[in-house]
Amino acid sequence: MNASRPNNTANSDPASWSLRNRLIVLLLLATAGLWGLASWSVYQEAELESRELFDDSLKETAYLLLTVVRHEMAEHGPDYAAQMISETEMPESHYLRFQVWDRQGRLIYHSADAPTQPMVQTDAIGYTWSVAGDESLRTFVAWDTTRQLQIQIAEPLSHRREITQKTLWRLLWFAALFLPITTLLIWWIVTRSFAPIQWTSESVAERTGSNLSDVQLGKVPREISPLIVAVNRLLTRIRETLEHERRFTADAAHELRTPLAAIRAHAQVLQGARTTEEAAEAAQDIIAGVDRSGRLVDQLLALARLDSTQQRAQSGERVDLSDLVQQQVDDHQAFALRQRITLSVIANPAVVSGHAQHLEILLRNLLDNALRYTPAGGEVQVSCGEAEDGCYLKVSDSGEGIPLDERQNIFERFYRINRLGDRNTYGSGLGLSIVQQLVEQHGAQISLEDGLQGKGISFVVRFGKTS
Amino acid sequence: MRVLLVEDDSLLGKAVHTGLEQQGNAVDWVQDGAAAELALLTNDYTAVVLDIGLPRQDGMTLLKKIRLKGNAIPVVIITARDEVANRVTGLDSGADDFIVKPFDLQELGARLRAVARRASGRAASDIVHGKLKVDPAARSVILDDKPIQLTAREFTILTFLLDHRGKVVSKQQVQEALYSWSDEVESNTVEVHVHHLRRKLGRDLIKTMHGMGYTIDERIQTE
Repeated sequence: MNASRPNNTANSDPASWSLRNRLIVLLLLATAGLWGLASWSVYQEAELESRELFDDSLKETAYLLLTVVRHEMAEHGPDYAAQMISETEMPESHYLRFQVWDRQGRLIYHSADAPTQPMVQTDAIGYTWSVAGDESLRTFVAWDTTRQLQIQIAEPLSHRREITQKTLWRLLWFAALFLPITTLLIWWIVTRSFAPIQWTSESVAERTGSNLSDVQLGKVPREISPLIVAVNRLLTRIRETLEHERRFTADAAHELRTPLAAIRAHAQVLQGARTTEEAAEAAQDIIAGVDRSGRLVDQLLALARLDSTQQRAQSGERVDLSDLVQQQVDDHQAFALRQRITLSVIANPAVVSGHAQHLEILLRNLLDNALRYTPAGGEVQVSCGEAEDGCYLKVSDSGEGIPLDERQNIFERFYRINRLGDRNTYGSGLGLSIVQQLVEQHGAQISLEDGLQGKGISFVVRFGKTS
Repeated sequence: MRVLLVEDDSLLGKAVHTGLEQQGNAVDWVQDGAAAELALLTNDYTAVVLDIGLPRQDGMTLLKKIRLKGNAIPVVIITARDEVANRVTGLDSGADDFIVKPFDLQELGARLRAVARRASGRAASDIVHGKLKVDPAARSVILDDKPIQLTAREFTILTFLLDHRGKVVSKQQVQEALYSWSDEVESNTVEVHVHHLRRKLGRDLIKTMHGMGYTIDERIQTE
């Protein structure tokens, strides 16, 4: 396999386990266990059955022998009977042994390997166990109908064992043959069933930064398709994020290069200036360009810092918005005066939980925007306070306002409203983007409302109730 | 030559405007695509400088629109994106040349002269007409191996007429090539400049077609 493929990493991870292997092992264990249990019960059943069968045949043989002996004795006398029996040895007699006793306890006949002492001391008819040497014997005792003759017939246990053990061995042999086949079968079924997972994971592994296309659903089982759908949803989000980042980088390049291009061009204009006024103006414009670049870099850095501190915010210090508002209004008063804008403040106590420095950046951006887009003679008002549903911060102006169809775009990075009276305002296009990020960071809401004097716009930030 | 500058950024626009004027061009500056379309309809420009990063209607769209209308005016695009793909898109959309921010004003001027020259069908940068040799880049004029001093206006009129050799050019056209919107034009200015040119270059070069305008003959008169 190609080493560069980020595939099969699961195998090298000691903490991971294979569902496939686990299934194979568990199925095998279950099959083998069930097979063992079945074999054991079959063996038990076979033994029971064979014991009954052997007992029956022992009993039958006993009565048959008894009848033969009785008959011979009646016809030829006791001595002849003994002779007859010794002559007509049955082939199985090497394991069957018997004795025939009369009522007085005299041994009339016995097979060659039978002892001369009674094998069992009993008068009852039935099966019992006897011992000869170290051998265990199944013994049957019977009387003829007139109770004149008793027969004791015995069969060694080893003979019976031999038969049942043969059955057991056959079962074990079958199991030995059966297990590898079962293993193969289980392995094949499980592996085949896991094929969709395998190729799904390969298909996901193929995704890279440049290939983020959806994973094909194809013929995957119901169990996997939710996973693929989820992966595809994630891929879509990644695509969007990447596209967003790509656009941001391109926009940032444009935004950074434009003032640089302007500075360079103005420097060349200065070099080729035809009049002193032209030179002075070019020099002035160079300074404006440098200021603008500086501001843009500041805003970009602020945005980058906000991005990295996105997670930790929410709970912070308790900040009184009214202090912040008062301070910012004081700071901007001189600028407002120069622009001939009336800057007023209505600061009621409003304590929110947040990051004081970030809240200051938020307010400063809103206030900068309002002052920048309000013409001379206009009015800007900053207010804060506590309403029923929490604290609010409001910056209103009497500028040109924002057309309805542009309102959804203004928080986008580098977005600037086109129809500006004075183009020499040079916003970075990042201010409201920063504001929105800070608003989100504080779990607040920002909305646009009517401005002052029946025109302009108001930005209202509403903070959730502090607990 | 007369150039239309389409640049939304006021700081950069102002610099390019002044810079190109310093190089002896008449420059009209608009800040968005709609104004650019209007300007192209109402005026006759030698070339267009277009920032493709315009807001709202992006420069690429404007460029395609111009080309769709069959307007073959030379266009140099200004781009902040120096990726090859962007330049390719720009050139494929109908741009004649491009320049990447930040750029050199002299280079922009040279590129403008180059695209204008190619559009007028001249391959070499120098214009040679008999014993008269004009170098638009150096803004120098040589007659009978002797350098002649011309003012910027005179030079513009001379190159304009030389670019339209064999055709009659109206006084109005000359005026438009000379002045941008912001310039105050007195009614007899063109006559004054032509008078000066005749004094410096000889009476026979520029002919007056009464009621129609001026012309320079295509064939060279040999004495």
